[in-house]
Amino acid sequence: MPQPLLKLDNVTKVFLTDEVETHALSGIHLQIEKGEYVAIAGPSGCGKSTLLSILGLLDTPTDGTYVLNERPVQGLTPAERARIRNREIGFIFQSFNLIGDLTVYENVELPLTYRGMPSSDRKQRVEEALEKVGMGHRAKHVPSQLSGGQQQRVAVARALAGQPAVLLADEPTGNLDSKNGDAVMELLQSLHRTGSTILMVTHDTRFARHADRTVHLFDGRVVEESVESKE
Amino acid sequence: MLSDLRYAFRQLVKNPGFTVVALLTLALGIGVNTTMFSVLNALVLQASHAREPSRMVAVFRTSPQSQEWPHSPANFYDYQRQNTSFEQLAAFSWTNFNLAETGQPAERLSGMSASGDFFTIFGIPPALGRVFGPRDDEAGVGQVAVLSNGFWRAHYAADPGVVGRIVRMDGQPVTIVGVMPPEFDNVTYWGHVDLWRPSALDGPSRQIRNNNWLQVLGRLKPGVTLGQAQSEADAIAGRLARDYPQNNAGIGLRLSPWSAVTTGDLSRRISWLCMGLAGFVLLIACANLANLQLVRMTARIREHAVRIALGASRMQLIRQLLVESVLLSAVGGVLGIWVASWGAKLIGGEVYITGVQGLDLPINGNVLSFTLLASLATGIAVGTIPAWIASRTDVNAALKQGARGSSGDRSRHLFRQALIVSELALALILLTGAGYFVRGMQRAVRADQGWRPDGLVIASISLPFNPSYTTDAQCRAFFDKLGAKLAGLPGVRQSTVSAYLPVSGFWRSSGIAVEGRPAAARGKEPLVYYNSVSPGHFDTLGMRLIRGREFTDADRADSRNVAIINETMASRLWPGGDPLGKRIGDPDPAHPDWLEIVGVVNDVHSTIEIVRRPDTPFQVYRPLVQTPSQFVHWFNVAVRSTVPEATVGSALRAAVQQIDPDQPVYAIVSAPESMKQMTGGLSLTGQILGVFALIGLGLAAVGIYGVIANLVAQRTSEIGIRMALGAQAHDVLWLVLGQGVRLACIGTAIGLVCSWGLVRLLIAIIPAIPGGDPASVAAVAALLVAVALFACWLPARRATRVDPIIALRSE
Ligand SMILES: Nc1ncnc2c1ncn2[C@@H]1O[C@H](COP(=O)(O)OP(=O)(O)O)[C@@H](O)[C@H]1O
Ligand SMILES: [Mg+2]
Repeated sequence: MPQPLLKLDNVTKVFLTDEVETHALSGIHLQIEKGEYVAIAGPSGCGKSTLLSILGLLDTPTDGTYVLNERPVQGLTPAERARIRNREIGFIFQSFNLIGDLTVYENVELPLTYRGMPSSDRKQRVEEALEKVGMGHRAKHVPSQLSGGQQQRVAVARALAGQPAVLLADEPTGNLDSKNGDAVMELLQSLHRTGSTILMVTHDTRFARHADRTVHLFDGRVVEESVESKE
Repeated sequence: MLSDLRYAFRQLVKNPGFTVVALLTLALGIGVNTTMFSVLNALVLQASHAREPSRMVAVFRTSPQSQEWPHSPANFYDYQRQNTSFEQLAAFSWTNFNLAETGQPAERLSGMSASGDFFTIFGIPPALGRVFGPRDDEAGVGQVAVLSNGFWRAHYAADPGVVGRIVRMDGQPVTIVGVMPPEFDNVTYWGHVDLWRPSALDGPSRQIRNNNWLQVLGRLKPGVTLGQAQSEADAIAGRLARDYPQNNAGIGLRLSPWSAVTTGDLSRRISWLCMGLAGFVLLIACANLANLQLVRMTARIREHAVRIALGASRMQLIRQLLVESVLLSAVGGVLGIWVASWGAKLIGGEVYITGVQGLDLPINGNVLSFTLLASLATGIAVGTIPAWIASRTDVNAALKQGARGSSGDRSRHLFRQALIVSELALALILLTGAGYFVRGMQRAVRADQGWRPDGLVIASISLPFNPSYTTDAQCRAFFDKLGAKLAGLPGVRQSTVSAYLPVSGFWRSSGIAVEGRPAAARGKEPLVYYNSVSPGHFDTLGMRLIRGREFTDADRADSRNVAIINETMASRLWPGGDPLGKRIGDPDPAHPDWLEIVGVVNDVHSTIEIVRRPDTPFQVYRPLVQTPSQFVHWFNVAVRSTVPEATVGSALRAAVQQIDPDQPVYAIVSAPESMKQMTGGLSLTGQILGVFALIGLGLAAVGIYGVIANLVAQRTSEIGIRMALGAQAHDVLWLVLGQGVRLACIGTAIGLVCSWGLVRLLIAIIPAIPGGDPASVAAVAALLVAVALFACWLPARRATRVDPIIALRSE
């Protein structure tokens, strides 16, 4: 039987600030198969971002195990975690997080650079990714010259360029108006159709309907998993 | 304006971190400059005191060999009589007086003998009693003395009752008639002087034209320019040369404003150099402050936008920021004065003038005015550019997007980088300057001078020109007894009595003729330094006899007159030939007084050559007993002994006491120590430059640290994003460090180019410093880069610890 791409077992996350313990995640079990499109929904503060940061190896669980691509990730050195982030994970952030001093092209190229990929290979990948999100004509622009929706498309291209195992998106439409938000959702959907594994956090259940499956979080626990019926 | 000031004050109090760093930087920058200015002020600008100093003129005799020679009495009196330019003209010379008061050991005083108008020229009234005048200067009178304030305090505990007291000086009764005020001490001009006495030359002495020892100083008549006085002097010099070709052929008279001679040329140039380099420290401090201000401007951009939106004009905004900056630098200036009061004490305590340690460097009105100006200039310079940049705030952008990403960012950033690059370049210039100076000094002092100073104890004795020591026979008897005593001193292996020792160099030079060769034109004869030495001199000093023989006891006053010359003279005057047996003598064909060359020794160099170029490389030694005693009334003793210096000193004192209780032995010191004192000023300069360089380096390091740290702070989220995307720690480290490396490399490159210029300047100022020291330049450049990188590494390391999770946080 094939292993799931991501597997969380009994993961908890406790933040300790000023002697106050915040149980951001409590006993999370979660499996995501290759090619799935999963939405994580829930009210603000329920632990969605925390879950995503653990899945994206930006943070470590307080307890429980996380197996990514058949590999347990606890106990890895920061350098190994950075390497995995770079190769296996593509991030799409709410606030786009493009680097203002770099052009669109350079932004997309960045994860590839950290991989030490030769520049001719990088060029091909970057152009491909920009074509996929329809931003090929803006390669030489800097982020401040683009609209929010365009910036987020570039961010998606950056996540795609490295051909990661999974795309992690944290409220990708949170900073966009509804028209641009819809466009980005469509983009993710089309990526899903071409085989990408996507995990998207949203507090808006409207967007969750695009996903194969929605995990509902409340107060750090999974309260419900629903499978969308495709229309 | 007042409200601006209040607001500025509130802003500074509100940002204690910024204010403290800025004030420290200012205190150092302004403090260093105020300190150096107090040195410059004391050594150069207000070095000497006189009424209407602009009318005072120093007169020198010139010849092909020197521009600063003294005069003979006859020439002086002729010039005094013939000129119409001067209100008064006075002659003076440095003399030592031996003071013997009943019940106390003989003491040697440094003083000056001066002609009657000396005090009138300065126009400074005495603090007590009276000064001496022309009437005291007449032959057979002159048994009076005027004390310097320093000597009066030190020796007589400032007792006003000394006026009228009679003391025994050089075996004669002398009346103390007055005490001068402290400002007349003029130490930087004539050194530490204990007293002044009228020279009271007798008739025959006033006729001497073949011996030159008088310094001449004059006060111009009102309305007479230096140029007019110089033309008249040229005419008189021409007449003197024509009427007395024997002694005056080729001479000229050179007039120089007194202010230009009150400080040694070298001291003046070095003082200005140090002042200039102190300016570099202030520039670095300014660049640092401008940088800090720019950071604050960025942080306050919204405040400025709001002010502009509310209708503030650009001028008003600039004024507000300038007031803040000037307020800051004014407070920094006050702290700077505090720093300077320490610095001046520290430096003043290390200054040696004529062998006496310590010089008062007052923080007076002059210095305070400088500090005020420097502080104002700093405040305006540091405030203007950031204020101007701030005044160009794009109101819309700033109000809409907040602090980040406005269009001013890029130019601001470039400007900050330019500031850092210049700071690093300036710091490197200071470092190379200091390094070059210190290394050069070390090499100059350590260079082989042709004799062995270690283990040598030296001392001076000066016989008075009184009836006990008038004839050659009297003086030679003294030398004979002294020689015998020296040989008998405990632990003394070798000893010599000589007119000069290579520690302080040779001071008597003269043209010579070579027997059998056509006479050179008058004034164009080869110039040689004369030294007169006792047998055993070369051995005692550790010199090498190259040919011929040394002087022995067989060289008596009545035996054949002989000389030993140095190697360079032998090879230049007798290239390929043998100088032994040849004769040299006075260029005057009437009485050549031939000396037969009996030996050749190696060249010796003096530590003093570092500061004073020798007039000629030729050195001639004569037996002490064959030298006319007028040239050896002042002489030196050197002994090589196995016992400690202090033991030698007291034994020496006791020995001389036995010969003549009126004769003090003074300046007893080991040769290496004396050499150290000789170069004390230069070593001190090296230390001062070193401190400048370290402060400059420190400030530059703080500056680059600040810029890079600020960069990291501004780019924290960017760094987080990069790490989320998989950047490794070393990627981040290099991202930050790369900026620093770039700045450090550009700064170093520019600094190296400019340092080359500074080194040229140093060589021009102190030619004796050995040049070409690429290793030390490379070392300081490496030091600068290392310090800069360390300063960048601290924030860079912090950058690698950024938590990539911040990438997930929006805003
Ligand atoms: N670094 C942290 N330190 C302390 N508490 C945190 C931290 N990050 C998140 N939390 C807390 O954990 C809970 C979950 O937060 P988060 O995952 O950001 O929620 P969501 O993304 O669903 O809005 C919240 O109560 C939040 O305050
Ligand atoms: Mg969230």
